[in-house]
Amino acid sequence: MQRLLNRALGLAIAGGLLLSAPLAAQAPTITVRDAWVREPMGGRNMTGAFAIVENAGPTPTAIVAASASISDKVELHEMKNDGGMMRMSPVKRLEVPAHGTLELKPGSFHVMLFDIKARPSPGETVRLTLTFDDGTTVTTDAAVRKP
Amino acid sequence: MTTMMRRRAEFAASIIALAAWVVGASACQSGPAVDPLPILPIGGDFTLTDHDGLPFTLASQRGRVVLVFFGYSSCPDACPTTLSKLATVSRRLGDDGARVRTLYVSVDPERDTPPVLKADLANFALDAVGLTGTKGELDRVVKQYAAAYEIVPTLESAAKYTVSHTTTVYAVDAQGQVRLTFAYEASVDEIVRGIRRIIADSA
Repeated sequence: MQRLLNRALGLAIAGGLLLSAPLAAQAPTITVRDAWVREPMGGRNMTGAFAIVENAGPTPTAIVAASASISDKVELHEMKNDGGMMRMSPVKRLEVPAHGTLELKPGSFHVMLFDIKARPSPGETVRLTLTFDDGTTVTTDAAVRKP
Repeated sequence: MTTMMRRRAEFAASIIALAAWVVGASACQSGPAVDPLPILPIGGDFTLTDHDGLPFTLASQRGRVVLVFFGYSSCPDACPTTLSKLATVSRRLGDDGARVRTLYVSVDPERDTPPVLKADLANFALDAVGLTGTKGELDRVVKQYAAAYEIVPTLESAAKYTVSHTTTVYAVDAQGQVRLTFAYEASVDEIVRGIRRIIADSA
């Protein structure tokens, strides 16, 4: 029994070292969380993807491209209510401030997925990759939700 | 005091008086809900083409409360959001919902043919008519309702062009007069309350 416990303890310590060492060495500067894709509205074959992008580093960064498993035409967009006039425009960059957060959300900055290949339903996930201006990419599973 | 200075002083005084009157008038409006809704100086009758390709006049809707709004079927966000919201409004109105019809006026006549509008509206549980016309016809209606739109080329985008447009919903009473407008942010509750007031006013 004692031998078994010792072995278990040894394994746990080894496992802990294996897991914690690489994590401590390279804490990610950019994290993407709460990613979601809106279930396409009406009969539209396009939709938006949203997420919270955090930059823990001292250098501002920006999303410069995105890709998604259900579309080959993914663009960065801004939606703006400009004195009652609703404007949609493609943008080249979505800025993430140093030690700051960019919230991609409906009615604001977001990722547009055009010509959707497979219509996503709630409960499914879409693989979403964001590319940053230094070339790094972050891939996340975005949950499909109703508007 | 020169004549010029006096004129300026008189002008300033009249502006202040006008401002006081506007403030007073808007204070009155927030008074008891029994006041009838004002008739807004916008809107009016028009003829367009409906989603079956037939001529459609606003005048044919007398006796109904009509919700007019401008949009387009490739609109990625604002229009389907509004249509979904109006579908919820209709459900919430219960029996009164049968007295309300939505007119979805396209500001993208190039892409929005009657069948395209019909297919778009089929996705929403809403008594709505999609309307289109020539650019000239649509521009006239846009102007009547003090709405606005702008075709914005986005050649680098899969959308090719987007249409910026106002998102106001105009509530027209049973006599064809605009009585209320709802901003994009208006809640389902606000719209339901507004429609019930218009129905009560015309009872």
